[in-house]
Amino acid sequence: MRILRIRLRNFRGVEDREVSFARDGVTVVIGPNEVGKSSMAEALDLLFSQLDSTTKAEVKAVKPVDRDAGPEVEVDVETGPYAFTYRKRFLRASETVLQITRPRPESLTGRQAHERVEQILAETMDATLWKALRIRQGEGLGQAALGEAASGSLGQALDRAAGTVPEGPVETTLFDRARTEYDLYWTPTGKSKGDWPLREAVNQQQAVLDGLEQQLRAVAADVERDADLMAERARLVEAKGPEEARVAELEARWRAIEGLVRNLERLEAAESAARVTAERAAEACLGRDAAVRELVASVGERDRQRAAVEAAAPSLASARARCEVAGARLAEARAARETAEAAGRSARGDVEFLRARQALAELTDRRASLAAARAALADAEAAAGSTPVDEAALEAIRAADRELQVAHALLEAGRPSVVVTALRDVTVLLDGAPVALPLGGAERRSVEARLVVEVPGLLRMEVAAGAGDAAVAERVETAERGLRDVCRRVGVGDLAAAETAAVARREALAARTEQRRRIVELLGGDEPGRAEQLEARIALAERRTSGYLEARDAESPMPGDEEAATGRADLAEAAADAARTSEAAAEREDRAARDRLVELDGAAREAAVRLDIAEADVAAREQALHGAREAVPDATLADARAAATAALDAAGREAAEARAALESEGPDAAKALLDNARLVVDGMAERLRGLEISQAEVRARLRDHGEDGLAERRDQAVTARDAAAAELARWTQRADARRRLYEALKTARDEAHLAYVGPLRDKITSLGKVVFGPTVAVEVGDDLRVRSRTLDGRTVPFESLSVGAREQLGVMTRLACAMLVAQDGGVPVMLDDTLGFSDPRRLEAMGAVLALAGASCQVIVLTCYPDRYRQVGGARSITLS
Amino acid sequence: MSVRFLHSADWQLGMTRHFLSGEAQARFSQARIDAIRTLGRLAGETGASFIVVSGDVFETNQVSPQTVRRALDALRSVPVPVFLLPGNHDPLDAGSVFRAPTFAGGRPSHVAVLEDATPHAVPGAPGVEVVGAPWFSKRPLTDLVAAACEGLGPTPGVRRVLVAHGATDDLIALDNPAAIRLAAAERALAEDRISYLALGDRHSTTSVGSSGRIWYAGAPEPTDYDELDAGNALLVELRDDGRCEVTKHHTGLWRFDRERFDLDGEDGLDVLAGWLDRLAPKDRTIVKLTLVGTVSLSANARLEALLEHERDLFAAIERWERHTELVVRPDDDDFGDLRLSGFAAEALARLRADASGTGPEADTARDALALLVRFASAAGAAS
Repeated sequence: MRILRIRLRNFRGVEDREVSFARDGVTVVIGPNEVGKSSMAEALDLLFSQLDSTTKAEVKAVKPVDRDAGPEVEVDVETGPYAFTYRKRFLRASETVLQITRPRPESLTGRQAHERVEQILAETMDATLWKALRIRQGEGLGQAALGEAASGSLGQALDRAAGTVPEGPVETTLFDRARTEYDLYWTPTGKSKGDWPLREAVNQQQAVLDGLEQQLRAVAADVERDADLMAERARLVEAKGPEEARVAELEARWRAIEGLVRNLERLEAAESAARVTAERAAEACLGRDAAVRELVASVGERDRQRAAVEAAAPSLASARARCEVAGARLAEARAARETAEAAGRSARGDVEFLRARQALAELTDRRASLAAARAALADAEAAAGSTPVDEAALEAIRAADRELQVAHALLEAGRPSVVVTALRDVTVLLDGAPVALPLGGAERRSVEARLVVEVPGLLRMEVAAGAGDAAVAERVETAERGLRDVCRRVGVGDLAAAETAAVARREALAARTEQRRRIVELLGGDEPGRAEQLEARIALAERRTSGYLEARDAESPMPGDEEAATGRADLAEAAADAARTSEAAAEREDRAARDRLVELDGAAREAAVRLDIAEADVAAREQALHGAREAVPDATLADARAAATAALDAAGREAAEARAALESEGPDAAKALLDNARLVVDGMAERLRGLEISQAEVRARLRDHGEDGLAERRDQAVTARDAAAAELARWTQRADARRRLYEALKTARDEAHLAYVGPLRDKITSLGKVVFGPTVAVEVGDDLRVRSRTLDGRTVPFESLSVGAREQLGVMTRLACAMLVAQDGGVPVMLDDTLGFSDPRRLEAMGAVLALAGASCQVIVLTCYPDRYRQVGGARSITLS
Repeated sequence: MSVRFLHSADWQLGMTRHFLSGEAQARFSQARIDAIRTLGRLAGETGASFIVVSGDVFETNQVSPQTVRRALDALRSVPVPVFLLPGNHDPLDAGSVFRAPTFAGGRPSHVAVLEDATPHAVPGAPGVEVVGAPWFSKRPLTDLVAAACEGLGPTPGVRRVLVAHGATDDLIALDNPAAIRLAAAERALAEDRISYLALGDRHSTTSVGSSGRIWYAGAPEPTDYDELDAGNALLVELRDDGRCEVTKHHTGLWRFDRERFDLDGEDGLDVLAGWLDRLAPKDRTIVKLTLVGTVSLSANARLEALLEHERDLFAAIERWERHTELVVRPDDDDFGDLRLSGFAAEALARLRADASGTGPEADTARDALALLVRFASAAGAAS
C-alpha cells in the first residue's frame, strides 16, 4: 500500500492542507508543533476504520473547535492492483466517495464505498501491521507489537521468506487448546499424570487374578492327585493278594526247617558235653606227668645250688688276705706323708724369719733418716724465722733507696759542674786529689760547695757553688731519713745488708721445703698416721723375729740367707706332695680290696639261702606226688581218658549227620525268601497306608477350598482386570492422542517461527551495521522481538541498552519489516518524530538507514526538528506551516 | 401307559461372561437360575413326570456357594423329581460340587444326582428307570454311554432313560476315547436296553442319528454367539405303543447376535443403526459386531457416538477385531471446513501422512487428527 497524497479539511486545527508523499523513498514532513503532522496519521486511521456516519468520541475530537464544519479526509492510494481516491466527511454533511481508477474504473459512495475499501484493504494489506509499523510520539522506545503483526502481512512476508504459509488467530487458539489438553495428561517434563491409579488398579486386579489362578491350579492338582491316589490304591490292593499267599507258603516250609534245627541243636549239646568229659580225663593224665617232671627238675636245681656254695669258699679266703695287706700299706704311706709335711713347714718358717729380719733392718734405718730430716727442718724453720727481711720488707727498703737516688740526682743536677779537659797529658789536682788526664781526656765535677782545680805548677782555680735548691736538698734529706727508718724498722743496716738477709731467708725456706719433701718421702706419703704406721711395722717385724731362733728345732742348721732357705723349703714341700700321692694310691688299693671282700662274702651267703629253698622244694614235691599216687594210681587215669575219647567220637558223628540233613533243606535261602516276601507285603501295606493318608490330606484340602467359589471369582477377576486394563488403555489412547497433537503443532510452530526469525534478524543486522558498525549482531526471539545486541563481541540484552540504541533498534525493526514486505506493496512506515534520543553521529547513520529502507518501501517521517532528518539522502522534504 | 419327562442340559450355572458389565452379568446369571423355575412350570404345564439334566449343571466344580444355594432354591420350586448328571464341567471327582457340603446338605429330596450307572426308579412313574453315565473326571478314557449300557439287559416292562454327556463320534474325532459311539448307542436302543438317550454338551438343541431317540437338549438360556438353537427344553413322551415323541419348548429369554457390517458406503452407518434399533429386548441381547470398510474421521466419530449410545441399552456390544477390519482414514472432508494455515496446516499435513499408515503410531496419529478437528472447529467457531 502506498499513500500518494493526503488532504485534510476542517481537521482539528487544519483548515485545508494537502500533502503529497514520495511514492518510493522517504518523505520528511516538517512542521512546528500543532501544525497537523500527527493529524495525518490520525486522519488515515479514521478514514479507513470509521463510517462517515459515526459519532464516536475519537471522531468528534478531530472536529475543528472554531467552526461548525465536518472534518474531511481525502487520500490517493495505491495498493496491490488497485489505485483509488477515497474521501470521507464526518459529522456534518457526512459522505463517503470512492473513485477507483485501477484495475477497472469504479465509483462508489456511502457504505458501499466503505465496505469496498475494507475489502480492498483486507485483500491487499494488514491494518495490524500498519499500526505496528507506526510509532507515535512517546511510543518510540518500545518494540512494536510485532508478535501480533507476525500473524498479518509481516507474517506472510516472513513466511514467504521462510517458505511457509501464515498462521492466524484460529491457529493460535487451536495451539493454546492443544497445549491445555496436553497439560491435563502430561507434566511439563513429559511424564504422564493421572494414570497411576489406573495402572495400580490393573496391577491389583491382576494380583487378585493371579492369586485365584494359583488356588485353582492347586485345587485342580488336588483333584488329579486324588484320582491318581485312587488308581494307585486299587492297583496295590490287587497286587497284594498273591504276595500274601507266597508268604504263607514260605512260612510252612520254614517251620519244617525249624524242626531240623532244633534236633541238630540237641545233638550238638550232647557232643559238647562229651567233649568236656574227654578234655577233663586228658587233663588229669597230663597233670600227673607234669608233677613227675617237675620233681625231677627240682632235684636238679638243688644239686646245682649245692655245687655253687662249695665253689665260693676259696676265693673268699684269698680276698680277705688281700684286704689285710692293703691296710698295712696304707698306714705306712700315711706316716711318711706326715713326716714330709713337718719338714716342709720348718723350712718355710726359716724363710719367713729371714725375710722379717731383713725388713726390720730397713725400717730401723728409715726411722733414723727421718729423725735427721726432722732436725734439719727444725734448723731451716729457725733460720727462716730469725731472718727479719722478708720480701715485702726488702721491697720497702729498695723503694726508699730509689727515692734517695732520685733525690740525689736532682740535687746533683742543680749544682754547677766543671769540666777539665787536658790539652796534653797532664795531672791536675781536684780539691787536692791528683787526677791524671791524657791528651784529650776530660774530667767532669759537680760543685757541691767549692772546688779547687790546680795544675801544679801552673794554676789554681777555685770554683764556688751558689746557694742551690733548698726543696731538693730537703727531699734528699727526707729520702735519707726514710731509708734510715725503714732499715731500722727491718733491723738491717742498709740496702746491701737487706739484700743479703733476704738471700739467707730464701735459702732457709728452700731447705725447709726440701726437708719436708724428704720426710714425706721417708714416710711414703703425707697423710697423717704415716709415722705411726712405720712404728707399727717396726714393732711387727720385731715380734716376728724375736724368739724364733730360740724356739727353732735345731735339727738342721739355719740357712745363711733367704734364698737358701727358700730352696730348702721348696724341696721339702715337693717331698710332701710325693708322699701325699703315695698315700692316695694306697687308699684306693685298700678300698678295692675291701669291696671285693664284701661282694664275695654276700654271694656266698646268697648261695647258701638258695640251697635251703631248693632243698625245701624237693621235699614238698616228693610228698605231694606220693599222696596223689596213693589216691589215684597212674593206670586208672589212662583208662578213664580212653573211654571219654570214644564217647566224644560217637556224639560227633550223630551231630554231623543231623547237620547234613538240615543243610540239604537250604535253610538260608528259605529264610531269605521268607523275609523278603514279608518285606514285600509289609511295604505294600505301608504304601497303602501312605496312600490313604495322602488321600485324606488331599480331600481335607479340597473340603477346605472346594466351596470357595474359586472359578467364579476367577472369572469375575478376569472381568475386573479387563475392565481396568481397558480403562487404562482408553486413558493411554487419550493421552497419546493429546501428546501427538500437541507435539505436532508445537514442532510445526517452532519451525515456522524459526523460519521468521532468520530473515528478520538478517535484515535488522544489515541495517544495524550502518549505525553500530560492522561487528554488530542482533538476536531475535521466537516472538520476533529483539533479544539482544552484540557489539565487538559484547552481548547486551535489549532492555539494558541505552535509550538511544533501543530507539534506533526499534526503528530498524520496523524498517526491516517494511523492507521485507515491500516487494508486494506492503504498507507505509510512518515514523512520528522519533529518534529524539540519538546523537548527531547516530542521526547521520539513521539517515542512511532511512534512505536505505526508502529505496524499497514508502517511509513517511513526521517531525518538528528538520535538522534531525537532514541527512536522509534522497528524501523529499515538505514543510508545513 | 405312556410317560412324559423333560430333558434339559448344560445349565452352566455360575458362568461368567467377561464382556458383561457387573450389572448385566448379574441379570444374566439370574436368568439362568430363573430358567430352572421355568422348567418346573413347563413340567407342570406339560404333565412331565420328571426332569433329567444331562450334565454341566454347574459351570465348574468351583462355583460359589451362593450360586449353589440359589440353584437349590430354584430346584425346590420344581414340582417333579429332577435327576442331575455330573458332566465334564462338574465331574464327580474329589472336588465335586455335588459332594460338597452346600449341595449335599441342601439337596431337596426330589432332586437326585446320578452318581453311577445304577438304575433309579422314578417316584410316580412306574415302569421307568433313569440311568446315569456320570463323568468322574474331566478326561474320561472310555465311552461312558457304552459302559453304562453294558450292565443293562433288556427288561420287559421297564423303559430306561439313559442320561449322558459328551460329544458323539459323528461330531468329534474318532481318536477321542471318550467319544460316544453312536452305533453302539443305537444298538442299545434297538435292543431295548434303553428307550431314550438324553445327551448334554452341545448347547444347541440337536437330534442325533436316525432313531429319533437320541437328543441334545441344548442349554435353557443361550451362552454364546455360535449356538445355533439354544434356549430350549425337550418334552419327551415315551408312548405305550413304543414310539417316542420329542417336542421342543423355548425357554430362553436372552439372545446372542453376531453380525457383520460394511461401513464403506454412504448409508453403511445407517444400516447398522437401523439393525441395532430393531433388536429387542435390548437389555437381554448381547451383540458382537464385525465392522469392515474404510471410514473418515467424522464417520468414525459418528460411529463411536452411536455405539456409546447403544451400549447403554444393550446388555453388551462387542466389537470384533476392530483394528484389522475397520480402517479409519481421514479424508479431505474431515478438514475442508477448518481452513487452517501456517504451522497448524503443516502439523495437520504431517499427522495425516502418519495416519495413513497402519499400526499403533498411525492409530495415535488418527486420534490426534480427530482431536485436531474437534479443537480447530471450536477455535474456528470462537473466532
